[in-house]
Amino acid sequence: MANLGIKDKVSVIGMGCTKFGERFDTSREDLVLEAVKEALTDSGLELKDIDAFWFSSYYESAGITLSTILKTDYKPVTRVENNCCSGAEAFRNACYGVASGAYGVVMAIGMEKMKDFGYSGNPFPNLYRDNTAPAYGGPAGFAMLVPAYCEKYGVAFNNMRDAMAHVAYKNHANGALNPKALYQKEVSLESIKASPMLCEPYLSVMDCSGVSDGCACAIITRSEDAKKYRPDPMYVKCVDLVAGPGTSELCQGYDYTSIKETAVMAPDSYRRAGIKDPVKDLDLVELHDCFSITEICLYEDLLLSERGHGWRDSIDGTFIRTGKLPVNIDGGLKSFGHPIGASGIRMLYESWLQFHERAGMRQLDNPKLGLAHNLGGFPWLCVSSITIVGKELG
Amino acid sequence: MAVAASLAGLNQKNPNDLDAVFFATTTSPYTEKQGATNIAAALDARRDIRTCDFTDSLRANSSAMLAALDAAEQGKQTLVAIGDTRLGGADGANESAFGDGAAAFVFGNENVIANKLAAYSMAVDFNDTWQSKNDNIVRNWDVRYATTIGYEKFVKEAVKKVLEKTGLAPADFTKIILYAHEERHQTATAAKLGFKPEQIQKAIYSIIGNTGCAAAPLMLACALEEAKPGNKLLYVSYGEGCDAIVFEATDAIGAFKANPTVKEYIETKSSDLVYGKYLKWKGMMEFEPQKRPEQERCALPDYFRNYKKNNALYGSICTKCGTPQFPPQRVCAKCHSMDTMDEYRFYGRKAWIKTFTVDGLSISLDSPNYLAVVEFEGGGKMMTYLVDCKKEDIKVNMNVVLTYRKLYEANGVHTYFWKVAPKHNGR
Repeated sequence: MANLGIKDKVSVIGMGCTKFGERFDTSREDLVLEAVKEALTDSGLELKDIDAFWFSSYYESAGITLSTILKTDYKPVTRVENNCCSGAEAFRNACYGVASGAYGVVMAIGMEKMKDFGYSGNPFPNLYRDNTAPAYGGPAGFAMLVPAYCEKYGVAFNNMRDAMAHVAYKNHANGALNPKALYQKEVSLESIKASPMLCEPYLSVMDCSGVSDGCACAIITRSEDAKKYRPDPMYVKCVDLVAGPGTSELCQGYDYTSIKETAVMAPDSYRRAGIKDPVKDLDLVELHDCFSITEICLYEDLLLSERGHGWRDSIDGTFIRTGKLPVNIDGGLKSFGHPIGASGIRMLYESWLQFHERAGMRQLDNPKLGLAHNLGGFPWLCVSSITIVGKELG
Repeated sequence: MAVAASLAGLNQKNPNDLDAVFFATTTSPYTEKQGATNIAAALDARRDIRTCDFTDSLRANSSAMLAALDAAEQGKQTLVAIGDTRLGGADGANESAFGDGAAAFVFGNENVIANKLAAYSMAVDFNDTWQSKNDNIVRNWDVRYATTIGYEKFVKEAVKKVLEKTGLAPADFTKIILYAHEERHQTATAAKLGFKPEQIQKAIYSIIGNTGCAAAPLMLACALEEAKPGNKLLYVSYGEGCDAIVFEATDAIGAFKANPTVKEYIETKSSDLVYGKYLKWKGMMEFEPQKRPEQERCALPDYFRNYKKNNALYGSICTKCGTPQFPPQRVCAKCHSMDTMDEYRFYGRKAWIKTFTVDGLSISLDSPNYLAVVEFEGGGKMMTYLVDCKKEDIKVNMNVVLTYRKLYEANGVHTYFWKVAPKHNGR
């Protein structure tokens, strides 16, 4: 029996999010408290009102990392990790925690300190435990999408560069309007196209999301209890996650132009959330723009663009802040960087701000439905998550 | 290199028929840990075989060959692989003169392409070239002395004695395959022995360098590629003495086709190795470390559990739906059936590039890494490095061949694995 969903059963009643950045003088404790204090103020609750915690972090270990910072007295704290879906995973499990009736109010909190490592980028996991697989990281893996996409859809190389540059341009332009982003500056298309090459034939520095520290959290309760805390909770429509079987890297037939896990799950998530036409029904989409080429493929995987047209939509501005459907209106991973455990929850924070008319220069006109998507892994094998939230019931 | 030569040498032969694998070199990466077992594993040879590394002398190549020839008389089949990567000091004559190379031969007593007619060995503890355990480079005594008192005298004695044994004269030979430190010593000595210029198998040092232990074997390979039935070949090695072996090509040599030939390697040679990269590969300079975590060695249990995958490029094939997959799986990627797999070797299958990238970020000895997704005829795929290729020449769908290469050295362990290279005609 497949996933039945928990549409409208649980609601968010408070959120907090730190400034994402190279927070060299900020400790893990400082990051956690910055986000938690905001969420508590926002919800009107005290820390002791939270019955259970789900703490997502890729690099930290064990629940005691959080409990010792917050001094929670013998409360359940689960450390969650699912690659880059860790934040979404924490949120998802926190939702089930209250939906089950086991807890009254719970918190999902994601935190990552990326900037202490002393080297650029993330460590590369080795595919085979015996260390005989080639060593490469995100940039090389996602760069593989470029020649394949061009080959399949007959896209000229310069058009592909253009399409990718437009993604980076859009996300920086959006981030420039976000006081919590790592990068808050517009960058011209020319500078983007001139940025140093990392992985040929085409993936440059400007095609990559940043590296930053950050923390974001959400306080969740059952929808029937939400009005006790505020008149305007954010309703959770779906919290879905899939883990791919990895058959794309074992069997031929995968064409390196899509993230199958996302493409497979999207129709189900939309159905569970009651969405018929995502471009019409959704008001904002936060998707996992680890790299600009990823965003282009995800337009198609999330059914926002026709297959083979993602690149065209990027150049045409379909997804800019004032376009048909704003994608990554808060600046995305591009402007925020990607503190792995925090990103999924940061994405939901934008919907939270938008539904409460707190999005400043980015404010949309009466938005009602928002989507947050993450993927953790490589185009041919990942975990993928879709969380859909709404301003209203139904 | 020795693995590449061995795989080419085995050609269509069944590795299960090998009773022994010998490896001759003066430049083993280890002082304790055999190379022959590694080569045998890459060849997918049986476990119950003799293996041995013949080392520490330029003459190790013929020591290995003579041992293999002796074993052949007992009906044993032996593969002898020779590989060398001798290093001259930077900015010196040896550095320009030396080259890296390998060759391999299979010895047996059935369907042979050449018979051994006679052999003569002489051993003299004469170290005109040497490299001590703690040294990185080969050193040598004055070449005038070494050739006059050592080389020429020893070669003359060995050739004279082996000719006496067979009753043959220089004129009876199609080729003399004669090692020398320098090409000019080879031609001068062969002339003094009574061989005409056209009888001297070219040393090709000016094209590929002096490949040390592999030099005479590579010349022998060239000679065998051209030999006709009945041709006599005189093979002479040198290093703390001499071995001289008389070979006679049989009728079977007509059908013998080397694949690839030495010529094909020369024709696909690239001349754009920058000196700085050479120094990096040879570990001769301290380079700025990259700001990335250190490479770790493979855990031995994991590496050993994956023995056939790592060494002989085995995956598995589902007996229910027929889908080959790499690495070996227990649950089929296609039909999800559990534990219905057979072994399936991917080495030797037609392959091509599905997509690729040139990765400027990962650390490696050979940055940037060319990373490719490779698909195999019949099914299955793997992600690996693409080597021996110019960036501009990489194309989706280009044909590639599998090649056994060094991945990295970590904690004193040298880890090798399969990469791909563009497919030329033979190689």
